[in-house]
Amino acid sequence: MRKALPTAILSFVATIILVDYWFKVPVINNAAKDITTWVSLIANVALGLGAVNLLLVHSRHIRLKRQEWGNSTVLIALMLFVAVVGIAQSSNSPTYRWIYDNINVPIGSTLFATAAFQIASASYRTFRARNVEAALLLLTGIFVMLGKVPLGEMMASWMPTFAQWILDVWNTAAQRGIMMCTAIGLIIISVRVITGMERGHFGSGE
Amino acid sequence: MSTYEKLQAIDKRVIYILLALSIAVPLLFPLGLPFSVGAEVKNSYDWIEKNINKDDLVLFSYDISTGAMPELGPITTAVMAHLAKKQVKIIGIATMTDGVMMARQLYAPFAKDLPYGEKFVNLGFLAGGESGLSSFLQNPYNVFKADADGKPIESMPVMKGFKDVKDIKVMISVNCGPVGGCSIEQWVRQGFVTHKKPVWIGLNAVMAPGSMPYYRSGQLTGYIAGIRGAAEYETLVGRAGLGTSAMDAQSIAHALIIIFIVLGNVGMMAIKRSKAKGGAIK
Repeated sequence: MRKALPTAILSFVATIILVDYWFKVPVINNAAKDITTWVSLIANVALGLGAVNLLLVHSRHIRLKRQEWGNSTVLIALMLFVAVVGIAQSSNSPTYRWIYDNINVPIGSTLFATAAFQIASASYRTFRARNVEAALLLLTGIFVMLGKVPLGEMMASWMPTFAQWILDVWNTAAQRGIMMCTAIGLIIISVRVITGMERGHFGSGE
Repeated sequence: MSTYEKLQAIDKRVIYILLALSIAVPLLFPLGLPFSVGAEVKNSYDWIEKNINKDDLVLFSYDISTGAMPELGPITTAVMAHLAKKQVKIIGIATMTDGVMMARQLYAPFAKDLPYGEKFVNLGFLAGGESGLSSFLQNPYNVFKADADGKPIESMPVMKGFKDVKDIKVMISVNCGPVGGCSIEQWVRQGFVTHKKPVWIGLNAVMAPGSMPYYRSGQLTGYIAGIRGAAEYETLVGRAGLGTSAMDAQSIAHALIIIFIVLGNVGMMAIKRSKAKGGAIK
């Protein structure tokens, strides 16, 4: 029953959405509209649940003095502080915007930027022309990297066109193949989920 | 350790320091390397220039995380400068939570050209991913009754004439991927496939190869990728910004990475040749 009822609801809802896409049946079309609105509402509630869950998990870490419980304390303290500022003064208040623009954005950007260093180091260590395929990949990478920056354009005027040709022709062809395979796989998985054959998304039930 | 072995084992701290310098120095002392405008950016710019007129409704989705801000911020600023010049009406949303604040930050320089409530509104976070987007496009007032600050939107002049997706001239998403928001595929599915509306995107360079087929097939009307795309768009709009200033840094950083890759390969090949000859590695 714990899996049968959600499966039945899922199949029912999915059928309405599918019929709505292909046919003009006013009752079904209106029901589909309502369902998509519910998704927005449920997603908003899920965000709140996520915040509560985060609080519960990290409070437990602190209570049981688990490894790195200090980080949990910082997380909860900052989360509550920002939430209180946002609720008390609105998220458009100067204080909230200052926190966001001067703490959150620089930290997020810095973390993202560290990827450049990892990629540089990883490329140096792994990009080796050990065989023909690897050599081709290496050369392609170098041409695209140079073709996408002004330096490459200065070195040879044909470089940007060549890099774009690699992206437009070879890359697009490969990406299309991947996309089509993914789409077919997605259809199969969807049919299995709708018909109740696929139940992995319910978890183990523990 | 021989010289060739050393070439293959350069300390990563050396790479990190040189890379940091290769980015920081050109940013502080620009070289002003010239660059051309690619066909994609030119076509994307021309499409807006030809098809978007004063007071047309533009749905602008700020699908930007804080991490993607350095790359997507310049794209957004350049595109908004273009839209401000055209005096369109912008309905701002965000399919990821960060986007609401990003929209505020990125709108601030245009507050004079696009007065809030008249030419611009920030509706805030649109939850629910693709389903949420589908719902919003069919009946926006079911999803949003107020803007991100809680002000009722129905009386705002910018919302006049906006009943549903049919009134939107173009959907623009500056997008950092499906991490918590709508992906390019979802915008294409909902905007272009379902509602037959032009979808125009700005995206991270790392997402460019994966999204290229949508542009090539005509499912995307506009396509601005990465900081290079931002720099090219800034050139067309005539407003040099962060994109343009980052071009020198990107050039030197790419060159440095290529030099390291070549050094590693020279070391590997020399050792291979030496082993094949049966000689000692020097």
